[in-house]
Amino acid sequence: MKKILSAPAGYFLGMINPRLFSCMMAIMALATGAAQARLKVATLHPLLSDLAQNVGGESVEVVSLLKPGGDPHSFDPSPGDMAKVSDARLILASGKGLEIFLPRLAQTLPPGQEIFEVGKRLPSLRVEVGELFICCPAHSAGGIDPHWWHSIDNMRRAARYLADEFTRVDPGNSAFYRANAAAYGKRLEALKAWAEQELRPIPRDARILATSHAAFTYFCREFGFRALPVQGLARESEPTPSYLRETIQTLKKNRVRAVFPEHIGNPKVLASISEESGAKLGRPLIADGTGPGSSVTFEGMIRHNVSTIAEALR
Amino acid sequence: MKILSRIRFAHAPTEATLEAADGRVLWSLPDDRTQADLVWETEFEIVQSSDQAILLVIKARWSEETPETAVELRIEPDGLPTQSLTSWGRGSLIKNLIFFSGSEVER
Repeated sequence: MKKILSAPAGYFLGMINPRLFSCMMAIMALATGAAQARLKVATLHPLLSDLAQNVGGESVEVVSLLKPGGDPHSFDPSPGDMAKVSDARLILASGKGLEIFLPRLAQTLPPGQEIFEVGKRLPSLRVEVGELFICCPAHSAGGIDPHWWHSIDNMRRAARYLADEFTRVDPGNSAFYRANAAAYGKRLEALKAWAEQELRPIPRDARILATSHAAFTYFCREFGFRALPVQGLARESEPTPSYLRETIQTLKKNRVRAVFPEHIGNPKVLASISEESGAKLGRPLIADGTGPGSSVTFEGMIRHNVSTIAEALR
Repeated sequence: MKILSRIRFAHAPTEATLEAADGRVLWSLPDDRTQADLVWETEFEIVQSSDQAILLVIKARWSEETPETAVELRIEPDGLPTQSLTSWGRGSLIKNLIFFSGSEVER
């Protein structure tokens, strides 16, 4: 406010037309008041920005720290990034160990700013051979899959948890946040019904999701698939030659129909696995909420992934 | 443990409660309802660890002219997967519902 109307500028405007000046001041005061009343939140993941917008609506100002096309596995906000959101009340994180820098970040927050791990109250699934995994990279075995956003049920629950959190820090808008979360939850129930219908034609023995990295455990749980990831929980390294051989054998043995690369990541390994195993190369999936060059909404990501999987496996 | 539950009736009951294993009433059908109100949500806390099964009791009564009907209870316990069970009844129903946590789930 002070920067916009410095004394000389204000004086100058007042000299031109006092009535107009008063009117402008009133409008600007109202606008500034409205802006100040909005709850400012910063997010460490693009899907959390989408969620915050759906729950917070016009009462919330959302700032995404991860740039479009960025990889949330390797993202670590710089001091410059954090300085830009020093006036945010909340920092939204995915949780479940995705942001390994959180304890460090928590120590540098300005007074009054807090981190809210959206995934903390959601159920966790482990990467381990069994009901959900046909095989898994040894270096990720036993780890918790942090990609909880591949479950529509989880996102519906996350909307409720976020409404609770927004209510805690901004109780005046409680009814608005809860109503938004409920409305969004209804949309997500419809989305899940659509996804189930799209995936229904895929035979039981073809429900194997061979992907680049181990990101789809929650999707597999929700829609009755088993996972066969080539890399680990993050895109940390290329798989070893022996693991590649093992993966190709597993693909052949289970007659896997398709392998799916991702929008982020090197598609060459998957292309060569596809060639060696005879499984066709599907269109890329969106694993971390970031598409080529732009962020996507949760609903957009689910629709893209479900359509891509249904097209390749049925 | 915090639990959000959704109770969905196929036909409007005249009485209904949801109780914990110890008999504590967690939810009961409000008086100011209409015949169109078939879905109810309530949040409550129960004391138990996440690796134990969750036991809830649904009790419902319908008017005599109501045909055989269903009630679905969906629960979302913190840190555990969403689960639902459907029970059928005519006239009245008292059903113990047991929800298992699943061994692969961890907080």
